[in-house]
Order: sequence, then C-alpha cells, then structure tokens
Amino acid sequence: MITFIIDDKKVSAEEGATVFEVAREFGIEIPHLCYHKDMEPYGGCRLCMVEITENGFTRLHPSCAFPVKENIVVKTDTERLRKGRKIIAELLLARCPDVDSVINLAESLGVKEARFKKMDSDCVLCGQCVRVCRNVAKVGAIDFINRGKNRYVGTPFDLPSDDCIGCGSCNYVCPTGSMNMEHENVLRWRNLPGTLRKCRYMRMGFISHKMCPNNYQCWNCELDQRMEDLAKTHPIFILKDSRSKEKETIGNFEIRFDRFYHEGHVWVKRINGLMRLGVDDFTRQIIGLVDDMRLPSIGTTLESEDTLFEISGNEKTLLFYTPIEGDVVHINPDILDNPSLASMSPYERGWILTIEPMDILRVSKELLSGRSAKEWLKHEFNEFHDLVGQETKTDLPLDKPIPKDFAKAVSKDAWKKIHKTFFIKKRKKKRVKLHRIEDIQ
Amino acid sequence: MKIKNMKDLDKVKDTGMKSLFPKRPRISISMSTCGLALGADRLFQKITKEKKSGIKISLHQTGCSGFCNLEPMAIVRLPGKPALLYTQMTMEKLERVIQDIRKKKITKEGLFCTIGSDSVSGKPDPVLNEIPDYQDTHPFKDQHRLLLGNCGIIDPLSVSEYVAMEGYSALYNALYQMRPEEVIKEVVESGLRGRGGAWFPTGFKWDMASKSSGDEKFVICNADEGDPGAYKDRTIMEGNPFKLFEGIVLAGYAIGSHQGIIYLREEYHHTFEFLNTAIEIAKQYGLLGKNIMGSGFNFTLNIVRGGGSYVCGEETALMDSLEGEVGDPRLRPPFPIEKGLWERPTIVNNVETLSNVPLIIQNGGKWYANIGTEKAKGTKILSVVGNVRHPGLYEVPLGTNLKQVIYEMAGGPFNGKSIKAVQVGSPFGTFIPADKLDVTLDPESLKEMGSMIGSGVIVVLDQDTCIVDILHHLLTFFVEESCGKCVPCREGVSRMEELMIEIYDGRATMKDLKILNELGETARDFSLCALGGGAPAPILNGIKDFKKDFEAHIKTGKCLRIS
Repeated sequence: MITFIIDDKKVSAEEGATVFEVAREFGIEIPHLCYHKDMEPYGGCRLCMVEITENGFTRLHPSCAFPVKENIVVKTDTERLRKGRKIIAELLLARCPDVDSVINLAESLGVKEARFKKMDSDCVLCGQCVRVCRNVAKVGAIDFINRGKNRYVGTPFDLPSDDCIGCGSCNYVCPTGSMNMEHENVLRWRNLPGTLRKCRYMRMGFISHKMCPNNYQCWNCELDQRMEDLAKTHPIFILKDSRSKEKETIGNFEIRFDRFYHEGHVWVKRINGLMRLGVDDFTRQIIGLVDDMRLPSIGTTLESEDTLFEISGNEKTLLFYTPIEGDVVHINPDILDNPSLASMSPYERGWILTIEPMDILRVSKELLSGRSAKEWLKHEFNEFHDLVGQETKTDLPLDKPIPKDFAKAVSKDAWKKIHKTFFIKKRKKKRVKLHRIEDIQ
Repeated sequence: MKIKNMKDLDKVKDTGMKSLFPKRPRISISMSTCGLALGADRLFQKITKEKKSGIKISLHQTGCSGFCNLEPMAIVRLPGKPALLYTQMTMEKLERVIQDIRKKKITKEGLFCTIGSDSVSGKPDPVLNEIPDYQDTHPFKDQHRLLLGNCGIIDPLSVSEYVAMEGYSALYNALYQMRPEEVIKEVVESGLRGRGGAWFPTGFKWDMASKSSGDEKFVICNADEGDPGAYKDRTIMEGNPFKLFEGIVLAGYAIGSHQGIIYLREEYHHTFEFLNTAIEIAKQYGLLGKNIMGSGFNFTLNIVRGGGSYVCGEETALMDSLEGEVGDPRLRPPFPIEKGLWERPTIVNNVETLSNVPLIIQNGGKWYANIGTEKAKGTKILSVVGNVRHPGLYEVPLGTNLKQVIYEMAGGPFNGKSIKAVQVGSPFGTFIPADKLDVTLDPESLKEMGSMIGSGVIVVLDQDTCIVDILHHLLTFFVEESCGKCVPCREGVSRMEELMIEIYDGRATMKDLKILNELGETARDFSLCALGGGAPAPILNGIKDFKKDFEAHIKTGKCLRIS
C-alpha cells in the first residue's frame, strides 16, 4: 500500500492505481472529458490536471495517468487549476457551442459564454472512439485524420470502412454523440447481397457462420439478447482482456499461443502458406546473448529430422533440427546483419528463416500448440531445473529468469548434457550443410 | 577490408594520412546540400574532366563547414604547403586555380584564407605571408571547433581519413578495454547534457537505461532537426557521419543495446541517400553490423525518415511515428528509458550529443568537463541567422557571451542598422531586447532571464522588424505544427493566433492583450508536450518587453516603424 496526501487528507491506495481513481474512491470528483474507466489513459483534455508536489517540486500532471507514489502531496482544486480549467472549458465551448455535455461541463466550471469566435463542431476530439476501436475491439477502423486544428476522426480516405465490424462501441463511448459509424454501416450492409450480409457477431469473431433473415434488426435476435445479458454492458466489452490472452509465461518462459512449437525448441508461425521459424524463449534464456549463427543456404531441401541451424553465444553452441519438411525460401536479412536480434526479440524481429513446407497440414497435426505446448514447456522447465541442480550442485531460483551469463558459467560437460536433453533429443543425422553468416550474403 | 584489430586500424590510418596529405595536389569541393544547391556538382564535373585530360591531382568531396553563404568552397593543398581555402567558387575562379596547380605556384587572388599553416613543414611561400590563417579570419575566428573541426576538410565518406583524424580510437578502446559501466561513468563525469533542447544529463539517462530490465533496447538518434533556422545536425551528418556512427555504437555498447535508428527529417533528401551510403561503407569496414572491430559486439543501424511533422522531433511522438502510428506525444510516465519504442527501454539522443561522445571517451570525461561553465559542459554549435553580417554555425564553449557572438564573431548587423531583439533558442526562446544582450550562453543564465538556449538557434532582428509581425509568424508555425492531441495547444494556441491577427490589423483592444495572456499561461501550464508548453513563452515575454509595438498595432493598425 502507498500512502500520500490528497487535498490535505492522508490516504492509502494500492500500487499502480492512478491519482484520479484514488481521488474518486475518496469522494473527490476531478473534472474530466477524455477519461474512460475501461481504457488506457489518453491525457488529451487536460481538465483532470492536478498539482503534485514530489521531492519538493510542484508540477501539474494529468491525474488520469499519474500513478500514485509514496509521500506525494496532491491538490485537486487550487486557484491556478480553476483558472486553467475555466479557459479549457471556454475553448471547448467555443468549439462545440451546441453540444449539451460540453455546455454542462462548462457550466459546472463556471463558464457561461465563450469569448472567442464560435465554431459548430460536435466532436471534442477526446479520442475515446479511436481508442475503443483500436484497443478494446482490436479493429482500428477509425483514427485521427490531419493534425492540429484540422484534426478530425474518420476512416481511411473517408471511404466506408470494410474493417468496421458494426459493434457500435464508438457510439457507445462518445460523450458528445457525434459518432454514428454503426448506423451508417448497418444501412450500407442492408443493401448487400444475401451471401455477403455477414452477421455482426460474425464480424466480431464470436461465431463462425450465421445467416439470419433479420437483416440487421438485431433486437429480434436471440444471440444478441444473450450477448447483452452476458456482457452486462455493450457486447464489445467482453473482449476487454483479449490482450492478456496473447501471451503467457510458463515458469518464466514466454509462450505465444499463435505459434506452433517443436520439441527441439523451434517455433513455427504460418504466414500465407509459408512457415516462419525462430528459436523460443527457453533457448534465449539458456544461451543468453547470441553472437553468431550458421544457417543453411536458400533453396536447401530439408527432410524430416535434418539439421536446421546452429546458434552460438557466450562461448557455447546449440544445434537445432527442422520441425517440418520443406525448402528454405527466405532468411531474415536483419539476422544476417546482426545475429543478436535472435535473443533480443526471439518471437518478432529475431525470426530466422522461412520454409515452404511439403505438407502444410502436417504442421498443425504434429507440432505442439495451445494446451499441449503449455504442458510440454512446463515439463521442460521442471526437467531443466532438475538437470541444472544435478550438474552444478546449485539450484537456480525458480521464480526468476535464468541469469544472463548462465551459459558462460556452466561447464562444457553440463552444457553437452543440456544440449542433448533439450535440443538434440535422440536425433543423429547431420546431413544439411550449414554456412557461416558471412558466406550467405 | 574489415577492421579486426589494432593493426588493421593503424593500416587504415596510414591510408588516411596518405589521402589527406598526398604527394600530388589535393583538391576538395564541398558537396553537401548547400554546396550542391549553389552548383558544386558542375564544378566537380569540370575538375573530373580536367583530371581525365591528364592533370595529376587527387580529387575529393567534402561536407559543409557551416557557412552556407560562402559555398561552394574548395580546398587546395599543394604538397608541402598549407591548405588554401577558396570560397564562393565560380567556373572562372576554378579555371584560375587549376592553372595555378599546373604552374605549381600560389596566387593570392580570390584566396579566402589558409588552413593550418603552422602544422606544415617545408618552406613557407612568400605569397602566403599576407594571407591570414583561418583561425584569424571571420567567421572561423574565436571558434572552438571540436565537433565541426573536420567538417568541410575531410572526405565524409572516407573511413580512412576519419581514422587519420583519431576517429574510431574511442570505440576501439571502449570495446576492448572498457566495460559498459566505465563508458557511462566517463559520460557522467563529462557532464554532457542533451543538445536537442531539453539539456537533460546524458550520462544519467544512459545509466537509467542500462539498469532498466529487458533484453531488447534501442538507441535512437534524433535527427528530426525542425527548429526554424537550425542546420547543425545536417552539417555534422553530411560533414562527418562516422563520428556520429561511432557515438551511436558507443551509446549502444554502454546501455546494452544492439539496434540503433536514425530518425531523419523528411526534408533532408540528400542526407538520407548520403547516410545510407555511409552506413554501407561502415559495414564494409566492420564498423557496423556483426562483430564490430573484431570484438564480438553486434550493432545494426537503420535510417527511418519522418513524415515532415515538426512535433515528431519530440521523443515520444518520434517513437509513435517509428511504430507507424500518427506522431502524437505520449503521456509520461512511463518514460522512454523504461518503455519506449515497442515498449522496450529506449534512449533518444540528439545528433550533436552523440557526436560529442567519441571525444569524451577518447580524451576522458575530466578533459571535457574543463570546457564550459560550472553546470553546462562542452561546446555548443550555435546557428546564428537573421540580420547579421556572417550568418552560419559557430561552435563556442558554453558560457560565451551572447553579445560577443553576435557583434564580434558574426559581425553584427549590416547596413549600419542597430539590433532590436535577439531570439535565442528559436522557436521557443524569448525575444531578448538589445539592451539585455550582455548574457552568457548557457541553459541556467538564460533560464534566469525567462528564455532558453534550446537547440542553439540565434535569430537576430534589426531595427526594421516588427515584433507583432514576427510573433504572428511564429504562432502560425505553432498552429500548423501542433499535433492536435491536447486541448490547450490545439484550441488555445490557434485562438492565440486568431487574436494576434486581430491585433495586427488594429481591430483589437487592450482587453484582448489580457485574454492573450490568459490563453498563453494556460497553454504553458496545461499542455501535454513541449510544443504547447513552449509556444507561449515568446508571446508572453513579447507583450511585456515590446509593449510599444503592440500598442502601436492596437491603436493605429500599423507597425511601430511606419506609424
């Protein structure tokens, strides 16, 4: 718990909470416009600014984004803040003189009339619609267009969006009622031929196929009703934690659920009928910083259990075997330039090569994924710690990543054993010729 | 060839010395963006033709030395003689120079100055007695050219010439003899602070970045040089790119990063192609890429061009832009050293800052800390523009007097006019009235005056300038370049511009000045990033210091000088 002072009151809050949330918990309402409790802070309206004194320095910070810290002094309502908020409200009122929520906000801050030339916008550019579409619905159909005072929210080239799933979250969060994407798109979809008239829940990815005769009068639909009941609020919000589903750690080893894993610690990702390969987090942590590798040349045909590539770092080497049969069609040009990428970003920029597989269906049948990958990695984690305990007579801490210089510290014999247990398994063949990076370019 | 050890480095150094002091006459033409704009390529073609027709010379291209109005420049070095600098070259001048070379003699006609007359052995030429050395000539006089020293003299695309000028010795020492913490310690000791405008201690930033957890880290070199009037970064990049690369690799080594990105201003078309060539050359020498100088350290460097937005020079907006998003500044915390590009620890340093690093590692932090003032160490490249006799880049130790820079080094105003105001740190710096110019150039003393040194642009305005006019011009710049994310900057600054037009046209009252003040204070205190927060400073101070200009406009609708 963290204790600090807010408006002369001593309060305590959990670590990671923001000043805005804590203030609200203790009954202090800070004016705000772009804040939404289900989304990341944006900090665009600047109404929720508070005075924070930290280490003797007093500065203004947006309370929606400022995490609470020990011994800070927060003031939410001073002369300076009132003056600034008033000006901001006045500026917003001049922009949107006819929008009720802005008029109410301005009135609550003591502004009745704006002294500037009036515009007739109905959007305050708080960015809630953009954020909900991108971060919550994971669609990204709308974004800001232009900059400065010409900025507005819209779709690319102002054309009707094919990415929009018609979920209506933008309408739902908009504080001024200027968003109308859902309605516009539904009108457009109604005129499509029957086979293209995809159900909204299909577009959202909840169901795989559903063709109903309702023609977007969703209030007649049972599914729609159930979704509303389930989500309590608008349906899209049940997608909220989808981000955390993307990756997970098993005993400190990161695992990605959109990848297939081979028991020789190579991951595989399907891309347009090709297979992209790289080394997994387990390998990365064991070897530390990779500084060199040996790779097959482009065009090499790999048969089952052929050698794939060799990586080295910290004066140690690891050999890998191919998880799939096929031809090497592409080598990551960045990795040729800088092999260290494989350990810095093993799942993204540090991929190693692409293979055109003989039989793409075998990948999903034979390689590990999802639950099976999870169980396998857990097994490897336990076995690794057992083995290290036996070999080095010291136990690595179970709750921390493997130390960076582990490979350097470990003896040659122990390394051989690790290599055999986790990477070679029982394979023997060594048919494919590997080349030094310098020779490949 | 790849440099893999000290022996290789010495070999390259020898090649460089031979190339800098060849046995045949050496001609170099400065061919950076400014030189090319003034026709340097035609001069170069002409000499190439002459060379083909039999004259024995060694021909080179160089970068800009910081005085674009003197371009195109040519440097001629006859064996055993000091180098001769010719400025504002034309075809006729060039033909005369070529004739001189043929006859192996020096004529002083059109000669600007000599370079390094004291460093050359051999018989001094009697003709040269009357020609001053560059250290005694305007505009090079009194400068302390640590960073710009080699710009315009060495061939920027020749690794060997840079190595001959003690280049890459710092990186070699760091990679082979120093641990990353020791590199950071030297930088902390040097007191180097960020030259992009915020003056944050560089060593402190690196120290924090090296301690933040994560295996993937980034070094970003901010070359989005957008301040109106600034061109120091371009001059360094086009005049001595390997110094910058050396600094970037040192930064990467210090914080444990293996990837660097140069975020280059969109408008620098020539620089982009030039730097790409330089990177390829550095790779061939094993100074970038895999296994740098045989030490086992890998580092990749890429160039990304901006999209022409000024606000993308702000480090968080810059990272948004690199990620392919709209370049909007992010909220802080989290700071880039914890979660920067792609949520990885990232350091963002200016071109000038990074170029200082090789000097610090080579000569030690203590040596660097001797230059400058108590709190601001080292030299600063000032780009002096506006109504002065010798506009250009002046590299001076921090703590140099502003008056001295403007009047003695840059030659003061021309046509017998007097100075009205000087803006230091354009565009966010305040306009300093002529009677307050007796101030030392360092962040602290300028901050005391309510101004800032920023990235070192000094705009000199003479008596004919109207402050209201120039402030309105500045405001249109800010309105145009605001990203539009936060209300005080998007709405507030554009309303300030509206009011300024009213004032300019004489439709405003003294009451409007008060509103302008209120808007300015709100934008200053409540904005998200330094653009909105810095924009009001020149206006707020302008209202205070140049009240007469404002009153004239409000009452008569005309500028003070006309009414």
